Amino acid sequence: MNRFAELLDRLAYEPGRNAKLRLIADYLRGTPDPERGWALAALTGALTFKHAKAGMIRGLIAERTDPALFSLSYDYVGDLSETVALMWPA
Amino acid sequence: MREAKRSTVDVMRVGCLGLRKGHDGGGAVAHFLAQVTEHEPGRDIAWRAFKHLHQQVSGPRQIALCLSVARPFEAPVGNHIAGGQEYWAGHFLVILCRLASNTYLITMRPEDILVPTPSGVCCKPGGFHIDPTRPVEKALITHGHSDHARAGHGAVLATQETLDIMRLRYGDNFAGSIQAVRYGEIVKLGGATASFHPAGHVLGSAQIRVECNGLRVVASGDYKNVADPTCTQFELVPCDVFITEATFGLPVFRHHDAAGEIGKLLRSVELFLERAHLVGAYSLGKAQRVIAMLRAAGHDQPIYIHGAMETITRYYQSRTIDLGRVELVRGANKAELGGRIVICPPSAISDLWSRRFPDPVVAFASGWMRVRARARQRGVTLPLVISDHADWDGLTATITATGASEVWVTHGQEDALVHWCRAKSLKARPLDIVGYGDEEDAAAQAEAEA
Repeated sequence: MNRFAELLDRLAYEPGRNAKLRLIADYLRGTPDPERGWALAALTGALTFKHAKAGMIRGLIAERTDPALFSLSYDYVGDLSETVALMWPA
Repeated sequence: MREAKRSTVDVMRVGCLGLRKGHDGGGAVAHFLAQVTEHEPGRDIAWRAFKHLHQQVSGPRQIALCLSVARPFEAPVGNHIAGGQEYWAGHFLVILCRLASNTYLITMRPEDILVPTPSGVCCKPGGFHIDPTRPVEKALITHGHSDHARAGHGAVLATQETLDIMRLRYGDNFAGSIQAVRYGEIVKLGGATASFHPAGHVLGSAQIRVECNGLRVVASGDYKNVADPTCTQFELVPCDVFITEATFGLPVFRHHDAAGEIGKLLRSVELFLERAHLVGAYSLGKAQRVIAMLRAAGHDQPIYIHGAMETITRYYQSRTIDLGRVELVRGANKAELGGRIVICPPSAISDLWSRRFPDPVVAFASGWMRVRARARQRGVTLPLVISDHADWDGLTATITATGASEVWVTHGQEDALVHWCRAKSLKARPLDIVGYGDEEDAAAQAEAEA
């Protein structure tokens, strides 16, 4: 899954269409099933996440972090899901 | 001493004592107090020892006591803390004054050793400043980044590497006089002693330990507690007061494994063979670390650098740091830069300078790259989380490991770290020192000046 995360990161920052295609092709070529299948489904929007809503994510992080530290971090990062992803205890 | 109460003695903690033996019983009291520390509260050890001592030392005595930072125990027996609190005044235990009515207590607070001023931390007993942001008579410099090392001081004490770097950046007359100090060497300055210990930040970087009357203060400068092939590994220096940086003082900053980021860069080079990979990196430290890590990962192609980092990079090489074949971009033609890695100062990425490259992949090696908004701001397509500063886990682990009971937090995200310290019942305060920051800002300024 780390390779998929790396791919998403690259796609998020890469402005060029051809470069994006090359990144995706390279990923699909080098990744075994079933990870590749899941990745393809995620990229094409075929996956749905019924329960992963903002409120639930807030609740989960609140159980795991100090509220003052979370609030300072959220303030700095500015995006809930990103803040949670970065703060999530290893 | 006759007024000593069990409850108050139980909650007392005396750190280390730097006393001179002197007036009669004074030495004995001093010696004894040094023994009292932290012995299982509630077992009356302190109380019995005090009584015994009182019998030995009778009559008026002048005793010079220097208490290091002290704080109450976690209450071993319920309300005892409450009794002890009455005697608290800042850091030292006024209770001792009351224990012996004829004893004069000279106490030492951290602020008596190091005073935070807007232009840096000043050591009055030693007559020097640490990393002053304005010209001073005597400066101890932690490392060569331009927000810490400035030209124009009367005397500068630093590691040989830091002095060399300052000379390369500011010219031969950057200070009135200089003195090179080896790691671990103890220098006596006025009423204090100072020593330099590896900070793992860049070549020659040091934490500065100041000791005065038994109180130990460590000014960390910038530091990181992870491996770096281009500088000496961070050394943990136990102390009473730890002055820490907080550049990445938020729990969202976790740098993970820098080698993994180098792997990302190399995979991208493999995939986009016709494009130059432009890597923004600070000229002092980061650039050379990235090159060294690329070599460690097996990349053996020539690596190109921007002219602004040539002097420092050659200096690193002269200190036997193996960086392989490093060429100047200036001398290369456009065609041969495809598929090559080019290191440049972050400010050059958005410059006209970068237009000479064929459709470059723009990378930036910095701890800031952990946060997307920061990477986007920079117009980076390949953010590399490689930092020369400790991340959140590094900062908190280091603070704990120093054993310091008081923490001063400077330049960066002070609030979160101060909050964390207080939650761990460490005394903590932010320092408002103007002029430290992202070395890039200062570096860009220095480069503009140079």
